[in-house]
Amino acid sequence: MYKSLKEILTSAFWFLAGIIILAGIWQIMSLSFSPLILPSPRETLGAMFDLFSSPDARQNFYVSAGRALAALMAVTIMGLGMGVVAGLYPWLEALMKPVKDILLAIPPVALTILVIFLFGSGSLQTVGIAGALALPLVYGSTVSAVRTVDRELLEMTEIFNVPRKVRLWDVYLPAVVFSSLPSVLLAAGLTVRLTVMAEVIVGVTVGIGHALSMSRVYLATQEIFAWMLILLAVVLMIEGGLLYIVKKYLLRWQA
Amino acid sequence: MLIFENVTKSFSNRLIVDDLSFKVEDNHILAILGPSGVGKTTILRIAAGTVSPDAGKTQSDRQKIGFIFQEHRLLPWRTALGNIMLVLKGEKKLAPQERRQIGMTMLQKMGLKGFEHYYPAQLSGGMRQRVSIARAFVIEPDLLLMDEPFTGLDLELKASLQKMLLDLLSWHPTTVIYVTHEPRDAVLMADEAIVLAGDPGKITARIKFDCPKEERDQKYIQENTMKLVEQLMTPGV
Amino acid sequence: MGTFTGSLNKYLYLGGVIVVLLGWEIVSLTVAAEALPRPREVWNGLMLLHTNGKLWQHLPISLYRTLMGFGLGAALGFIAGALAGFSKPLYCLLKPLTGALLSFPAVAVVMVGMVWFGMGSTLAVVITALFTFPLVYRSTVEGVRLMDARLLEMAAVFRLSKWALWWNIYLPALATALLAGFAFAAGTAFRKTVMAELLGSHDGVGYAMAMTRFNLETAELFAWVMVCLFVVAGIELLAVRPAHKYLRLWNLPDEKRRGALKNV
Repeated sequence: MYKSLKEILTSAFWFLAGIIILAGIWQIMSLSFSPLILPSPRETLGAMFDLFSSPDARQNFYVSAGRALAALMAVTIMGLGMGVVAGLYPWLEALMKPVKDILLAIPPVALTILVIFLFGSGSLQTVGIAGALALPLVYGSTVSAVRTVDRELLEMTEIFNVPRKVRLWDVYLPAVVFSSLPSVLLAAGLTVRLTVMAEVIVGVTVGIGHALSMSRVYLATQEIFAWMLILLAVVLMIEGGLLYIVKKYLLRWQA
Repeated sequence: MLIFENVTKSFSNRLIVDDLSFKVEDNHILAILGPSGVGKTTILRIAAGTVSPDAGKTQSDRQKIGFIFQEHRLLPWRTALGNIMLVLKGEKKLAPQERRQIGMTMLQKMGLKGFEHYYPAQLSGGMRQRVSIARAFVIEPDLLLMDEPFTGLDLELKASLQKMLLDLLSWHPTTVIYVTHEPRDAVLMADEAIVLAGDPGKITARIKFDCPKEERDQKYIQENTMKLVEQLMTPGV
Repeated sequence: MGTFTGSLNKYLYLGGVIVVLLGWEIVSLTVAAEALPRPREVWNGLMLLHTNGKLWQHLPISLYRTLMGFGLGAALGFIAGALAGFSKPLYCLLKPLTGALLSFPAVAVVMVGMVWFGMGSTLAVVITALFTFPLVYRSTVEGVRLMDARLLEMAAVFRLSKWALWWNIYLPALATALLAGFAFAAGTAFRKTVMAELLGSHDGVGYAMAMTRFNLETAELFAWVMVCLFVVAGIELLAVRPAHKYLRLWNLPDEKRRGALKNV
C-alpha cells in the first residue's frame, strides 16, 4: 500500500480543488439569494467568529460535547462488555438480537419521541438516546470480533498450557479490542450527530441543538451554517484524531 | 517413551486414522511422512492432547509439550520476547525477571539478538519461525512436536534452521515427532521414519536410521531418501 | 463457545422477542398508561390507525417520499460513483462533498432545507435524496475500485475487447456495487424521510408522530413506531435479503458489516 509522493500530492491537489470548487459554487450562489436563505461563506465565517467569542455559544458547545462524550464512553464500555459476553454465549446473543434489531431499525426521531414519553425531557435523556442508537454498532462489532478470534492462536495456547487468565488477557482481549476498534471510531462521530439530533427534538435549554433551534426561530441561517461547519470540523477532528492515535499507539504492531 | 496403541480417530464420520500403533524411544526423533490429508496432523494433535482418540490409547505422561507449527502462530500484537514470555507464564516457579532473562537468552541462541522487541510483522518469515522454535524450546519440553515447520522456506534458510534445531536438541534432548512430506528432511534429522498411506491412514513402512547423524554422508542420505520415496510412491511394497 | 444450528437460532430469536414482550407487559402494568401502554393497547392503537384512516392517510405519503428520494439519491450516487470509481481525480474532487454530507447532523440539514423548500413533500424528498446519495456513491466507488485487479490482468493477457471487458467485468462489478449500496441505503432512506417529516411537514408518518407528542397520545405513538418497524422490516425482507442472497451467490462480500454506517 505504499503510495508514491506523486500520488499523495495529486490526491491532495484534487481534494483541495474539490473544497475550493465547493466554496466557489457556494459563494456564487449566495450572491443570488438573500442571507436568510443562503448566507455567503464570509457571512458564515463571521457568524462562526461571533459564536467563538460568545460565552453562551461556547457553553452550548461544551455542554453538547460533554453529552456526546458521556454517550460515547457509555457506548464503548457497554458495547464492549456486552459484546464480549454475548460473543461467548451465543444463546445470549440470540436473546438480545430483537432489541438490537429494533434499535438499528427504528428511525432515531421515533426513538427520541418514545424516550420523551417514557422518561421525560432532559439532558440525561439526550445522552441515553444517543447512546442507545450507537450501542448496537459497537456491540455487534464486538460480538463478531469474539467469534472470529484466531482459532489457531487459541490452539497454540492450549498446547502450550497457557493459563486461562493469561489466555484471556493476552490473546482474547487484544484480539477483540483491536477488531472492534473501527466501530468505536465510527461511534464517535455518530454520537456527536445523534446528540445534536436528540437535543433539537427533546428541546433542551442548553446545547448545540438548542442553539440550532433558536437560530431557526430567529431565521439566523448564517448561524445554522456556522454550527454545521463547526460540527463538521469537530467530527472530522474526532475521527481523524482518534484514528491517528489508534494507528500510532494501539496498532503499532501492524505491518 | 511415547506410545501409540491401536489409535483410531474419526472426524464427522470420516475415518482418518485406524488402528495405528507406534513407539518413539526417549530422546529419539520420529519422522512421519505421507501425502496430505493422510492423518499426520491428527496424530500430532492426539499427541499434543488437543484431540482424544476414539479408540486405543496413547502413553505419554508428558506435562510440557512444545509445538512448532507450520504457520508460526505468533501473537501479532506481542514482540518476539513477548511471545516467548507468554508460554513461560504458566511456570509459577519463575519470577518475571527470570522469565525475561530466559527469553532473551533463548532468542540470542537463535541468532535474534537485537530483534527481541520487534513485532512479528517486522520480522522476516525465517525469523518468525526462529521465534516459534525458540518458543517451543524455552519451556524445556518433554515432547516436541513439529508440523512441517520448514515449508515454504528457501533451501539455505531451511538448512540453517535444521542445523539450529539439531543443536538445540543436543543442548536439550527430548522426544520428537517430526511431521514432514520431504523424505530428505526425515533422513537428515530423524532416527526413525514411518510412512503413512491410505484412507484411513495406516503405517506402510518403518525405516530405522541407525547411522549417527554426524556420520550420515551424501551416499547414505541419498540411498535412504530413495527408499522413502519408493515407499511414498508405491505404499506397502 | 459453540455454534448453534440455524433453526435453534430462530427459536432463540423468538424467545428474545417473547422476553421483550413479557418485559414490556410487566413494566407497563406497574407504570401509568400515559407513560407506557400495554402491548394490547398498542395493538389496539395500531388497529385504530387502520380503521380511522390515519394509517392510510400518512403512510403512503411517507413511502412515496422515501421512494422518490431514494430513487433520486441512488441514481445520482450510482452515476457519480461509477465515474469516480474510474477516475482518481474525480474521486478526490468529490471526497470533500460526500465526506461532509456524511458528517453533518441531519437535523441541521433539515433546518436549512426548511428555509429553502418550506414544508412538505419537496423537503422530505430532497433530504432523503441528500442522505442516500453519499451512501450509494461510496458503495459504488468502492465496488469499482475494488474490482479484482487479477481479473483485469487476465483480461489484458487474453486481449479481451473493450466490449467484452465492459460486459464481463466492469458491468458486473458495478451491478454488485449498486446492489450492495442499495440494500444498505434503503433502510436509511425511510428513517431520513421520517425525520424530515417530523420537523418540516404537515403530513406523513413523521408528522403523525410529532402530533402524538402534542396530544400526549401514547398508544398512538407506539403504534406509529410499530408501523415504522414494520416498514423497515419490510424493506429488509423485500429488498435487502434478496440483494444479499445474490451478492453471496457471486461470492462477494455483502455490506452486512457496513450496516454500521448508520447516519442520523
